[in-house]
Amino acid sequence: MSVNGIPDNILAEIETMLIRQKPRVKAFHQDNGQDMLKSGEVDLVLEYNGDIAQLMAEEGGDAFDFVVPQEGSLLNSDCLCIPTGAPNPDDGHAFINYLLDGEAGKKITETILYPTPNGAARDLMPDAYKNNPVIFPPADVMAKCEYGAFEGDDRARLYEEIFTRISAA
Amino acid sequence: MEQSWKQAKAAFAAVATPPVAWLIFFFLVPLAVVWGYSFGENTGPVTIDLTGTVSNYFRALEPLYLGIFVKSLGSRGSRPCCAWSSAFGRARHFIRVAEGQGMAAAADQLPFWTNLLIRTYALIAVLRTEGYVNFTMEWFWNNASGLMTLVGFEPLGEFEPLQLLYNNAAVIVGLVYVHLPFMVLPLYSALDRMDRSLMEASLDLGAGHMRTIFSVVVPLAAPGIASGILITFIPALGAYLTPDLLGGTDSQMIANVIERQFKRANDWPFGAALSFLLMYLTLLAIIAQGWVSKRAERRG
Repeated sequence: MSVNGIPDNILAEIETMLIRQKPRVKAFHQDNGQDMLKSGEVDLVLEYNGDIAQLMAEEGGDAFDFVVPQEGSLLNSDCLCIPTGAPNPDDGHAFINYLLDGEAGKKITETILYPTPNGAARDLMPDAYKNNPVIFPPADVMAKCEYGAFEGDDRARLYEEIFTRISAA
Repeated sequence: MEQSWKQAKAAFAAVATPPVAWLIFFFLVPLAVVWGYSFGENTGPVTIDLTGTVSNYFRALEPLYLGIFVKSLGSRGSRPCCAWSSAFGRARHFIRVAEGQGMAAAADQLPFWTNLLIRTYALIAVLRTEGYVNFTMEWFWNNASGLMTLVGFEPLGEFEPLQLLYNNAAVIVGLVYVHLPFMVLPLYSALDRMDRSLMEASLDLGAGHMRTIFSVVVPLAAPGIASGILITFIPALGAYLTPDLLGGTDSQMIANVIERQFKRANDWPFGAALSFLLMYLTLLAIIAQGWVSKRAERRG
């Protein structure tokens, strides 16, 4: 089943399931799931792999692990964009060029521990990074994951309203 | 002698122009833009057409959103009461301790030296399962348990940490903590102005302390109480950070819904309509407050 083009009857089912699940969920957290995990507040958290890889690299990080559900998961990438009509597109290009430089990319990657899309930066990283299954899940796992597409304003509004209903329930 | 502003137009203009200009350009103009958006429609990821539609308001009045409004008002209603009773004690205490020194008032403002976000995170460190409250309780628990073994009783067993975070109580604690100083100031000025001999007279004439507080002090301080409630109630209605960080799965407030419209949902027109509904409610609260203080003036 794809994360895109979910039929309406399945959406309704998802909504009831999530409402039924609420008593067992501590919080719909912001981007601070790794902090809640670290402080012992929760045992299980839905988080980005890079954030968990950072947590695992800290002292006492052995206590944590990262798992992709058997069914697969949603992929997300951060993008660098220059809007049309931007006043200084050359500066924008220069900045992006700098970020894509191997050495600069290596320094960024060492801190954030997300999978870098930059081959030059990746080559400069140690094997412990390159072979880390948390940062680079195996190919068969990745094959089950996909990007979510923007399905238009109406759809986005519908998803948002479902979440508002779940939170209000 | 009081002077009308008309007699010193130049001085008045010099003093009034900067704040008035500031108010117009950085408050009224942005507000007007948001008000305009509330009658608009999304036509793309970053474009909004001002079509004059009222569909955003109709959507905001759906039972789902009205229910969240009511819930937000209700839980915020309980909060000023907490703030009021503790602030009242604090303000009275200030007056006794600090007669005209302003030191206590400064202490009241001390929390403002730290950012709201940092104070909220500090509260997380205090309340969480492995936080200071639970550490302290565990220490007492274990010592009590050790003491009981010493005198021959069964030990108390494992300490169960209290779940103080990620629920509505935590949100209320956070909001009271953040807004308490705002409550103290108007109460302080109301109580400071009050004629102390009235309290003495009440006590002299046989009223107890409680009776004196509720029949003499509270009615006299009513305008201060009303403005205190107002300036804590309004920011609390708009608070989304506190429920986001301290709340659980059922702590969603209307401010969180509005925040999501402007961020993740990228539905600014709808968010603007929800904000303006909140604004109209706030306006009603201000009118009610004006009514209360006018009535108190007439009586005084």
